[in-house]
Amino acid sequence: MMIPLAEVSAALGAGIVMIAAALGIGGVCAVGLQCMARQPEIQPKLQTAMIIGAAFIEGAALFALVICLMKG
Amino acid sequence: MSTGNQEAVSQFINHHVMHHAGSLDAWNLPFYRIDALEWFRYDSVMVFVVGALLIAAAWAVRRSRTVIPKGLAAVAEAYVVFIRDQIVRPNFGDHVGHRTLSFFCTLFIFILFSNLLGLIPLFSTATGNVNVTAGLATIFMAASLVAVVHAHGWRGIKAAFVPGGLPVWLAPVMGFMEVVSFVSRAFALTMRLFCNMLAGHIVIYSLLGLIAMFGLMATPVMVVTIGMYVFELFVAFLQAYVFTLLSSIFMGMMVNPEH
Repeated sequence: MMIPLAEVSAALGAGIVMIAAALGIGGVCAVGLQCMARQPEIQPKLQTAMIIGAAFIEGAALFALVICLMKG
Repeated sequence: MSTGNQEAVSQFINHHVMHHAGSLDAWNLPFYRIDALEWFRYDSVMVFVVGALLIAAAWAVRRSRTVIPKGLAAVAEAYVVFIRDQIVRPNFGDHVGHRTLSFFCTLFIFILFSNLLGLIPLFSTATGNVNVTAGLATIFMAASLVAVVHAHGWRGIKAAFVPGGLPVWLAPVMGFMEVVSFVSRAFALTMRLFCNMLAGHIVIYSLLGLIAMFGLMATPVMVVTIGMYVFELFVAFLQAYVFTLLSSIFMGMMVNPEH
């Protein structure tokens, strides 16, 4: 069975993107939760900043995913 | 399964999730086909459906307006106060914020309605089409330029793109970089909303496709599909919030460049 190389690379690329995005968003959320636990009084501000950071990472990951999707 | 079959499946999914409404065929279709539900599978139709819904909602809210808000008016007030306190005021301050409030209210509720309507079966997601999100980002760019001119006059444009106190030779370079970052922010807004909406729908559709392909054996996948659907409901709210929040942050950075 022949599998075109482009499809394999697109699927592998999607996997790598997911790993990187999970590491990034996991880091953001971990630090955010830690800060919220330490200083509950600034929780709303932290939550907003956390969502913004996660959104940036997510956006970058989605760029790469779309490229994988288009090539796959 | 053979490779050809897989390719067919992937093309089938892409065809059903990404409706390209904009060609002449798509625009002519409603006029000579009777089945009305078919119309809602076109993103361009859905944009107008969302618009009509919002106008109807605004009319209903206006009708139910009393001195002490109750019913629909109370909901609308809670919504506007949420946008004002969570999104607009932290980034603009009270004075300019009051004037940009209506823009962000419109942006949020339009994105939210089109995300949510897309989750109803047979309806298409308008924000899952890159043309719609690019249009939203273009409106954001125009609105931020208008807000800058409105707040500081035409000189505000220069202050927004070229930070003060730079050496003369550095100013054009910085100006160029600021323009590039302005455009790339709008591009990032476009892609973020579009990819999130499209990816969610592809996942749901692929999970349902497993049932179509493997029959009764794949029935447990239904549970996962319902889970994804609920998650998509959450994502619909989150992405509307993120789009509005980020555009207000970017606009606030341009209107008050010294902060």
